[in-house]
Amino acid sequence: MSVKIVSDSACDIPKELAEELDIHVVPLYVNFGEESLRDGIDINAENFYQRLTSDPIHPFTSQPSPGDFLDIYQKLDSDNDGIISIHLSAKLSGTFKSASIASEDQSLKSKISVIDTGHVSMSSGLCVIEAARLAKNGADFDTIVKATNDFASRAHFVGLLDTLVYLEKGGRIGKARSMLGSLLNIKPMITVENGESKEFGKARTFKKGIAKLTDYCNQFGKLHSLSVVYSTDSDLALEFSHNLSSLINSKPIISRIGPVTGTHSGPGTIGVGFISNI
Amino acid sequence: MIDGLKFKNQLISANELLLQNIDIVNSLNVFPVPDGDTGTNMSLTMQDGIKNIANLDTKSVGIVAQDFYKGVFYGARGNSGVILSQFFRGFSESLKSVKILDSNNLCASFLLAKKFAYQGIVDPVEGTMLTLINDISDFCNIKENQEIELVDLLYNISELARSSVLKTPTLLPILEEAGVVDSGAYGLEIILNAMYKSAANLQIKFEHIENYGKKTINNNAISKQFLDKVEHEEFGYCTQLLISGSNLSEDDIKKQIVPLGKSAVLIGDENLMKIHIHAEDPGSVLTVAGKFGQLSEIDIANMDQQHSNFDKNSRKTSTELNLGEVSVLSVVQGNGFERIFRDLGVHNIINCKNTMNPSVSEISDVVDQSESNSIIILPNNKNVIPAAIQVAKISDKDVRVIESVSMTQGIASMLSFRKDLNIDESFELLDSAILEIQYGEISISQRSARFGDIVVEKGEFIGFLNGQLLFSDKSLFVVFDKLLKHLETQEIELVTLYNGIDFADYESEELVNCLEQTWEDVDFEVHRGEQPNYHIIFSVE
Repeated sequence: MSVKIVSDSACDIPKELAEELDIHVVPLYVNFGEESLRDGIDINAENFYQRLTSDPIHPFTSQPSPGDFLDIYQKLDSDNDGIISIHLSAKLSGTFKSASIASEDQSLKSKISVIDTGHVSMSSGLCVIEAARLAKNGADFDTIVKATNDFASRAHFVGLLDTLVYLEKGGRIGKARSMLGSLLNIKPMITVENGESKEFGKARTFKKGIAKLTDYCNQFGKLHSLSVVYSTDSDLALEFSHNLSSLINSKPIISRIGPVTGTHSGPGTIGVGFISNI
Repeated sequence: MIDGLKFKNQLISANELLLQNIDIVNSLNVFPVPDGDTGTNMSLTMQDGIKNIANLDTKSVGIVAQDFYKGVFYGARGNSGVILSQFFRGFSESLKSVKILDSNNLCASFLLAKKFAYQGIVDPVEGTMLTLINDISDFCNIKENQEIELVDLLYNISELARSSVLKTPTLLPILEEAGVVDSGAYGLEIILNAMYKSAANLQIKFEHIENYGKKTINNNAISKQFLDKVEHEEFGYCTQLLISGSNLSEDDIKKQIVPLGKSAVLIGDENLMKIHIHAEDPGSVLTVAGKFGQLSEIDIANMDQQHSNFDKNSRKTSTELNLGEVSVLSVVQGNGFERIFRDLGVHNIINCKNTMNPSVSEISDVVDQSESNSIIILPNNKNVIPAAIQVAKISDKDVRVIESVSMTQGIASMLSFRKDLNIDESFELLDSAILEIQYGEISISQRSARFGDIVVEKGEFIGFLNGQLLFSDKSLFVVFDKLLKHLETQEIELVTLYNGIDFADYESEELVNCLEQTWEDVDFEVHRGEQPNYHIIFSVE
């Protein structure tokens, strides 16, 4: 018996790692017009970015239904020490809400806690991974819930986008709106704060932007864990993670931004999510 | 005997003599090459002092000195204007309770003038007007000199000023190379000379230095800058335009244009001539000018409305401010740059027309009008920094100055601006960001000159990098290519070009096409800066 960990596809946890740590990932949906695709199941990142840049229809994303969560919770309902369902920011997606509704279903016997990390992509994903590691090591339900909330409070995300267009089209631009419509060709940098995306700065070149992301990470000193995320340029992600590797004792997790997050960040995105020690 | 009225006349004479010689002082302003505005700056500063005492009817020297200082303090433009205003501060403070000027209190004034002049300068350079102020102060510090008859003392001072001016090239090598004396020192000499002659009831006329002055004056060394001496008693329209053609004759055009108005200035060569005139009927100027060639960049402004326009523009806020938020004031030149800065979230803009030298009071007006109480100023020019620092000193608001010396540095700075930070955090971020780029300009030389190893022919393209003149050539591409090669030790990712108002889009396309072939890995981005004076302003990162 152990505590079961559930998450969602917008946390961008690499597939192999999710399998290894027994994380149950519920897919969000990417919709091209009427065509509704399950993130990571019906469409993978490779096909998605090709389609994103060529399809005249711009996709939109939608949360899993409460039913989708209920299916998973029911599947895990016997033989556990509780279910902890950990998700991307409730301010950015209705995923948390769907999970919460499902968790209250009278048919479920398990103790369920639904946690809003207030983050997205791997800054949320890292919280899930840490929780799953604790669960694997036999930690109890309350310990993991407490630890997960604590990780979430120390989670950070900064990303460099090629353009803000996708963030705007997807309606997730939030307080980063002030960077829109620049005359100069600018690479916007965003961060996630209080559950929302927010302007972090502007860079004229990718190299400078990455230097600024690196500076941001460095100011926290040694980190608990770190992940580099990218949408289309894996070489750049490798190089970036190499530069950051001295900040953690393990190897940085390199993760490809999946279709749901990618709908909003667009191609050419690179970012870093981490959990600080302080 | 010099009482308040006579002292006022001394200052008025000084202003008039400087005004008469403004072109010569401008032409001596050699470095950087096209930036001949020392005379203009000093004169505009003096004029604001005169305005403040024009209606004064007092016999007290002290009151005149204090009111004059108030005027020059708010009117101070550029480096030379700020030093000049600090110079007169010495008079203002020393003569506070003085009714009649005598040798003793005049000497005391010069001693204080030196103290204040040096105080305002972070990095005093000798071979400038500071040297002259220093020499006179030393002279006035000698006890016997304080007992000389007042008019004789003034004579001695004006003679001493001449010898100080003559030695400026030996103290500042750049002057020696260009074959000129320092323009600011020369301007101050003119002021002191007029003050002596006014006191001695002599004709107010200035004997120019033979060698240095004439050499430059005969060199056709008119600065590219326009003399922005808008006198308020003049009526009509400030009319500016460009004539392009071939074999344009300055004399012929002058003959026909000058009678049409006042304050006519013609600058250019046989292919391009810029005209500035205050005319009652701007239409007649266009008709006459049109006979010589094609007209462009026509700018007609009602001079009575100019000041209010300036106010309106500079107070226009493009980005909404919430209470307590930090706002940024940027000094720019060129409508294109204004658009870019507004776009980056700058709240207040001072868009300078011909020279980048807003006065302390112009900047401080905008600061006062701003809705924010925490203001960061981007001066974007070395000459604007002193005025901006003055504003920060006198303002009741929390004003910080980022010492950006180019508009491109200002842009680099604004890229780091974030609405959610307080003024300390913002200042730190914006301040460090100015060093993230290399900046440069390309202009056309207005004179033949030699700067160190660099020989510049009149009409050649000259290239600056980080404020230093590095290359000159007849080919624009060659100059740009050399500038980039000069930076080749570091990896260049992006070069951003801002086209000047005299630089056509097709010209920059041609240039960028050539550059892209030579520099395959570099991105070139072109924008319209619409700045005067510089063909291209650029940043490299």
